Amino acid sequence: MEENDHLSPIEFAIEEEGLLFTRDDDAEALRITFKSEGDRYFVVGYRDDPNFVMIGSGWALASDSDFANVVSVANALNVRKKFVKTAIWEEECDALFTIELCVDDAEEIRPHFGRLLDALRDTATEFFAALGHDEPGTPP
Amino acid sequence: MTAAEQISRFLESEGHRVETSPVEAAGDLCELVFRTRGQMFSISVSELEPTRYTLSTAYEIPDWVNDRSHTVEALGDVETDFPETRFILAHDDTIFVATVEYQAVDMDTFFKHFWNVVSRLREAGNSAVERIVDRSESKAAADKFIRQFMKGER
Repeated sequence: MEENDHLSPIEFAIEEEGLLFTRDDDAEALRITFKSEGDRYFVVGYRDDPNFVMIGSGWALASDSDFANVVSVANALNVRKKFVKTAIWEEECDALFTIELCVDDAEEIRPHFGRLLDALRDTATEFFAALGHDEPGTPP
Repeated sequence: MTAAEQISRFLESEGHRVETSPVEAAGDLCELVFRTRGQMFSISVSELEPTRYTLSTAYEIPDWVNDRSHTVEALGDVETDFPETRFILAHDDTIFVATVEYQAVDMDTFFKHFWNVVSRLREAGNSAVERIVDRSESKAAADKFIRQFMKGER
């Protein structure tokens, strides 16, 4: 573990969930990627902002999606859902689900990590169900 | 590659840590344990029947639930709703184990439906917990009412 690695408590949280993970840090950002039930997730922190932690998952949308409807569904989820922000990247045809937190220490997230993962998973499932898909799309 | 090794590789490729252990006194039987959504699951597979799997997960019964007949009745009701699932009380009735047996055509089919089977088993287990707990809470509330009534407080 390198010095000033403020995401290391998240690694422990992922391990406690029984999941495997990989690190992909660079000069500016700390990144963790992992899978749960085959779906890919990421955690991002910035070296110059140790209070910010983002947990997320991204999914590809069908290229022929009705984006007015897609954005409407995303807005409805943003109004209703705790924690999760749903963003549509229309040019990339992606849907991004993120939980963005401001913490003194990522250790604060550790006991709630399972709940946050469930929130991400449920939001993606509800999003694609509202679009008429039984299952989420594919990762971008 | 053995069936247990293939399942282990599949689970790891899906992001999950797996512990594999042979079942003592059953040389061809292996148990694989993994965790998902905060719940431990185990898969039993015999190399003699490599397309037949038993998937299990255990749930604690809250200490304050002490009506065994109600628990048995609740588990029976949920078995009716989830006919592929079997429930067994264990550890002096402090836990119940939810089990589904799965006969796959081949390994690829097993993997294709794997998370759906896990999801269905989890749904059955959660439903059983809800029924055990809900009914018991209602009974506790009624008991409290009756005790207060008998003391003339109402």
